[in-house]
Order: sequence, then C-alpha cells, then structure tokens
Amino acid sequence: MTTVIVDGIEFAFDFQDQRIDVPSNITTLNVYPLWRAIREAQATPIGISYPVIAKAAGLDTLDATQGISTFITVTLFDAWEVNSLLGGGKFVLTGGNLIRDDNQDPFRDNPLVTYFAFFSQSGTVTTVNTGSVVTPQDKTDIVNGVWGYTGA
Amino acid sequence: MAISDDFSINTATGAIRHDSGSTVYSLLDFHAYATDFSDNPENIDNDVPSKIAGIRDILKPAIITLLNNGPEATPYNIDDTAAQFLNFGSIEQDGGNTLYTGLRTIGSPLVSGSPIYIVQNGAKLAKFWPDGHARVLVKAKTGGALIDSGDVEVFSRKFGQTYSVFDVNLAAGSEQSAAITTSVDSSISLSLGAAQTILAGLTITAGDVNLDLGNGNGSKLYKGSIDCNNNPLSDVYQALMAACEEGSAETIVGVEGWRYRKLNAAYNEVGSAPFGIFAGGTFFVARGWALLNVPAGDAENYELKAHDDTRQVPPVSTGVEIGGLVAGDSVLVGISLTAGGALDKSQYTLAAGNTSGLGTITLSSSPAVDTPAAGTVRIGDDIYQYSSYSGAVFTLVGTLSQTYSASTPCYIPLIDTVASGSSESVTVIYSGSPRPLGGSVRRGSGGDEIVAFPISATMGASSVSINTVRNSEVG
Repeated sequence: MTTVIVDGIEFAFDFQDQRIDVPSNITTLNVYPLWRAIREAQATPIGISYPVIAKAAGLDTLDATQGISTFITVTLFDAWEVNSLLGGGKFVLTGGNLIRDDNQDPFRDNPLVTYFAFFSQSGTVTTVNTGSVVTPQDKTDIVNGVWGYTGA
Repeated sequence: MAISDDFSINTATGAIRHDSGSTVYSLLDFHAYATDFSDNPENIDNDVPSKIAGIRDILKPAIITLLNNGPEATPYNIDDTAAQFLNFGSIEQDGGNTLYTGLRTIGSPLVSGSPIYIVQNGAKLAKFWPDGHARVLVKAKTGGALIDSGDVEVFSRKFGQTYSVFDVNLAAGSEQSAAITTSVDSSISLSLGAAQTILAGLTITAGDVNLDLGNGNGSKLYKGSIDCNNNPLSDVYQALMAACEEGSAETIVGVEGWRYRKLNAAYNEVGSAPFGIFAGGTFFVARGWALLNVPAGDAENYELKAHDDTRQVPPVSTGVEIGGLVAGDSVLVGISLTAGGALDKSQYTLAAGNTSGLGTITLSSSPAVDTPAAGTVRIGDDIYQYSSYSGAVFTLVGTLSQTYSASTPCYIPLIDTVASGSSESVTVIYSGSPRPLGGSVRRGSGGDEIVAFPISATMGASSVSINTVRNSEVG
C-alpha cells in the first residue's frame, strides 16, 4: 500500500487491487484533493511502475479575481475504484465529477455505505480566499450549501 | 669509365681493390675484367683470378670464385670496400672461407626513394647504397663461419610510410631476394617530432597483463601493455610508428626500435606496422599488447589480440538519456516487451536463499550485459538499491526486508530515480540486440506537475535520447 496525505486526508492506494481507500473519518470528499492524491500516488516509487491511475480535465479559470473555475472531472482508468472505509452511512463526493473510463461505477461496492456523487456538466467551483478564519471545512460547507440550496 | 679504371689487381698480393669511381658493376662484368686482365701480356705468367659457375649469362646472377695466383702463392681477394661496387651474384674467396652474397630487394609498390637498411647479427650494416630498391653484396661468411647463420633482415621504415621487413638467408650464395613494399601511410598526419613527443608520454612495458575488456570473454592474458595516457589512439599509433622508424632511439622489450618486430617469437608479425595497423578509425593492435588508459572517446576504437590469439573487441556502449526534467521528477525506464509497453516485471527470477537481512540479492542466473553497474532491483513493489554486481549476485545498499522464495520474478530498470537535474542517463554495454523500452516521467506534486510522460523507445547500438514533454497537469 502507498499512502498519500492531502489536506490532512490519508489516502491509501493499493496498486494490485486498483483501489483507493478513503479514511473512515471522511464522510464528504472533494474531488480535487482526491485528484491531487492520485497525481502524487502515481508518481511515487511504487506508483510509477504501474500504469497511471486517472486523468483529469477542467478547473479552467473563469474568474481569477473571484476564484471561480469550472468543475474538475477525474476519470479513473482500468478497474480503479474509490473505497470509503466508513463503517456505514453516507459518503458524499463533491466539487467535481468522478467517472470510470469504462463507464463502470467508480466506487467499490459496500453494502454498508451509500455513495452520493453530484455530477454536473457545467459545474463551477468558487474558491473563497478572503475573510477571517475561513477554514478548509468552511469552504466545503459553503460549496455544499450552494448545491443544497433549494430556495428561490 | 670502364671497370678497369675503377678496379686494380695486384698479382703479388692477390688484392683486387676499388680505386675510384662510383659505378657499381655486375659480377659478370667483374669476371670479364679479371679474365681480360689475366690475358694481358704482362700478366700471362699469373693465374686467372676468377672462375664462374656455369655458363656466362647476363640475365642470371654470376657465381664467382676467386682463385689462387699459383706463381705468387697468394689468393686473389676483394675487400669490403670493393664489394660495395659489385652486385648481381656472389663472390667466394679464400678457399670458401669468405663469401659475399648478392642481396636484391624487389616489390611493388615502393614509394619513390624508400630507404632500405639491412640488419645482420643485430646491427645495422653501414649503408652504401642509394634509397629505393637495392642490389648489393653482403658478406655472409668470414673466417670460414657464416655470420649469424647467414641470416639478415631487410627493412624499410620511413616515418610517414607503411613499413616493410623481409628475412633472407645468404648462406647459399648467388643472389637472394627480399620482398619490400611501401606505401604512403594515410594514418600518419603528425610530423616525426610531434609523434616522438606523444611517444614520450606513453609507457610501453613487457610482461604479463591480465585484462578484461568487459566484452563477455573474461580476463585475457597479454604479454605487454601500452599505457596510452589518454592520448587519442590515432596519435598513439603514430607515436608507436615513430618508435620503430629507421632512426629511432627507442628500445622496445630490450630490442632497438628500428628492428623491433613482434612481442613474442611465436606470434605472427605485422610487418607494415609492428604495433598494429590503424585503419578506418580503429587501431588493430598487434598480438600480445594490451592498451591501458584509452581515452573515453576511443573506448570502442580498437581491437586487441590476446596472447591466446583470440580477438578481443571492447564492448559497444549504449544507453538512455532522459532530458527535459525538473529536479524532483520521478523517472523510471526499463526493458519492456514492446517499445512503450508495460515494463517486463518478470525479466529475471530469484535464486533460492534470498533471506531477510541479507545484504545481497542473488538471481537464478547472471543478468544481461546491459544491466547498469549500479541501480535498483525491483521485486514486486519492493525496491532495493544495489551498488554493484558480480555474476548473479547484487550487492545491496541496505538489506533484504523479507525472505523471498526461489523463482520470484524481479526486474532491473535502466533508470529508476528522482531527477536531481535536467537530465538523467545511464550507460550500459550493448547486448547485441535492440531492446524495447518503456517507463514514465511523472511529477505529481511540488509545483510544475505534468501529465505523465510515457517512455517509448528502442535501445540499440546507439544511445537513445528522449526529451520529456512537459504538459501541465490539471490542478
């Protein structure tokens, strides 16, 4: 196993099983740190001896001053899957699209975990960089709030 | 001028001497002169000075015997000086105790004016003949004994030309021939003085040397070494020719350079170039000589002949260079089944006995010759650095972290590193067969991240150079 820590999340990569383990304390995962972990894992001494795990597209800047860019779409190759180590409950993937190159399910089957992924053809990402005490979790909450907004 | 003007015969002493002139006369002319002398009225009481073997024939060497002058009880005789003005045959005197044998050089091509010198009993004969093909008399016997068994060596060694040497035995008298040919040596570009300067920086040593060229033939015995002192081999060749030219003051394995011919009596010599021929940019070294300290630029530009007469060719070097890197890039290049395909992770298998804690890895057989001198052995996802290897045994930097069973597959990449600069490379011995390569350049963090760059190439006898295409990665 090869572990990569991005934004405090310890991802574990099993190159033989083609599986990305997400720690059990993560119930909501942004695609962007997942992509950064994938990018780093496939460049490790072990990872470089295997075919690449995924490719990414998007994150095109729409408004640099406002920190707005298009969604990221991560495409997993071969049989790679994301596997939540949650013991049960809901696992939410946000901030971008995660798909498989062969159009199969990008998540490892787990009867205890329900995966939610909000895919969009035209999603945007707004990066909050100003204001005091804005934490990474605040940013996630803000984005989720945007997606969960049902008001007029 | 006639021969009677240049020579004189003293019937009282028997002396036949050259008195003046520069003309060289045939022995047939000499015999005619001697016969004519003897029938002069004033000499009628004296014996004919000479007799000829067989009939007179101007096309054949005249075999002359000088006789005794009976009335004076003195043998007719010539001296060495007189012999210098006679040729085309042989002349025997003193009852056969003294013999001058004719020696003639023949052969084509011969560069105009090629100097000829004759070595008898290890010494150069004083030269009295002009440059170019020679026709002279050489004293072969004196006091009733052959000089050095009648053997002489005939040389032509003018710096700037190919050399030539021929062995002749003069015991049989008459005229003997030496085949001598010379050509302009197109491999000589230096002046003699410049070549001698190079020569002063070389070390030529006789004695056993064991040398392994790394060509798969193992260590071979040589009987001498030439330390090239990193001089280009084209210069070394010229220096060695200077060591053997006619006027050389060098001593080679105890022999004067101007008559040095070969390192061992059992070897065939290279008459045109005693240390070997330089042709087509390659120095084909004469048998028995090992070259040391050959400059890197000439690492493949020579061939040796070991003492056992086997041809030893230095291995062809090849390799891979990956450019366009940024320090911190991960680089992996290895043998694949097809160029650009997946790495062959079953390139080798392990032998038994690779147990945890050992400082070596032993393969089931020796690796291919194009295995890097140092690098990594990958056993599955386990990576072990090695600093050297001998046969199938790799000396690790560290120890095995676990025990591996026999026949476990493994592979040895050509490049397996994190780049420290803008390029990474490896030099290996060419295996003789083109090798498909695969691998990747990746950078996943630390800024300047790139889309994984795949390696796809074939490593042949010429090194492969690949420049990384750095397409910026998303994010």
